[in-house]
Amino acid sequence: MRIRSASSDTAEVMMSPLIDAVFLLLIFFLVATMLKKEKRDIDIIPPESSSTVKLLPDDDMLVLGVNREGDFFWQGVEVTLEELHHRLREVAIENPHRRLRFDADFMTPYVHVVKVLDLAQFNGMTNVGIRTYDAKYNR
Amino acid sequence: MRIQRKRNSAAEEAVMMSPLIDCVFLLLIFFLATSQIKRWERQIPVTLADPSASLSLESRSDAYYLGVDEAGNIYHESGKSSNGVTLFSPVENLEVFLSELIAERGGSAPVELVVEKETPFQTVIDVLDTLQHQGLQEVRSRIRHGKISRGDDA
Repeated sequence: MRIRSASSDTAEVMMSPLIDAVFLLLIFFLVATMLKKEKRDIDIIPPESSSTVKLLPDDDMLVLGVNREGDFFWQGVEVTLEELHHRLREVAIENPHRRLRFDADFMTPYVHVVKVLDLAQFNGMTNVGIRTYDAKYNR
Repeated sequence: MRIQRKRNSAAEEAVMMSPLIDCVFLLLIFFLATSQIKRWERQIPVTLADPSASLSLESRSDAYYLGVDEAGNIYHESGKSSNGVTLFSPVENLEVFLSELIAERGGSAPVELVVEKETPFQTVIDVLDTLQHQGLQEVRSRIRHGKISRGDDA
């Protein structure tokens, strides 16, 4: 019956999954803090609309933007219209069905909106959506 | 002594379980919290015309033209000038006008918005919303560089 003292061994065995879990947590937090997503939203107020659909954001989604001054943005970085065209063509060659979100300010002159939509059309992008205002934008 | 050992070891085992469960709960709560970061967003789906359609040299004559100017006023087509430019007259009440138009032409007949280039995006979205709510299924838009040509009642 002295062998029963082996139960103290099993009690020590319980330590290892605990340490495992703590390490898992540590590693998870490390990874989670490193994976900070690049900011793709630009400083605009999107238009309000009553005919919208609710969609889940997609990490692979392409975000194009134009502000009220008519500056164009690719994934949150300001680019020229030519650069936008060039990059969009490369994306369209790879996968024309990739989701494309278009952010435009509510005061943007319509001519700039049409320029971007024309580019998307010209390159044959098929999955385009215009982002509209909701209370949680940029928060 | 044997009894004491037994009790001690049993008590140790029971104590070791609870921090483990704590950790698991912490993990659970952390995942719950992080999964809420992904939020829904609202979008208007856009159907872009087939690129080959823009190769057509003839303008489509089946579309009814509606004009939108910079100030957000709506116009309907009221004929053509002698050199072929579409002339527009103001619309008083868009909803009433559209219901009459749909009664006359049906909801599936295409409508084309002629928008002055400096018109704010929100104005165009508002007009497109109204058209959508009235039940028009095919709406296109294009830019007009310069002012919309007003008809005889301008």
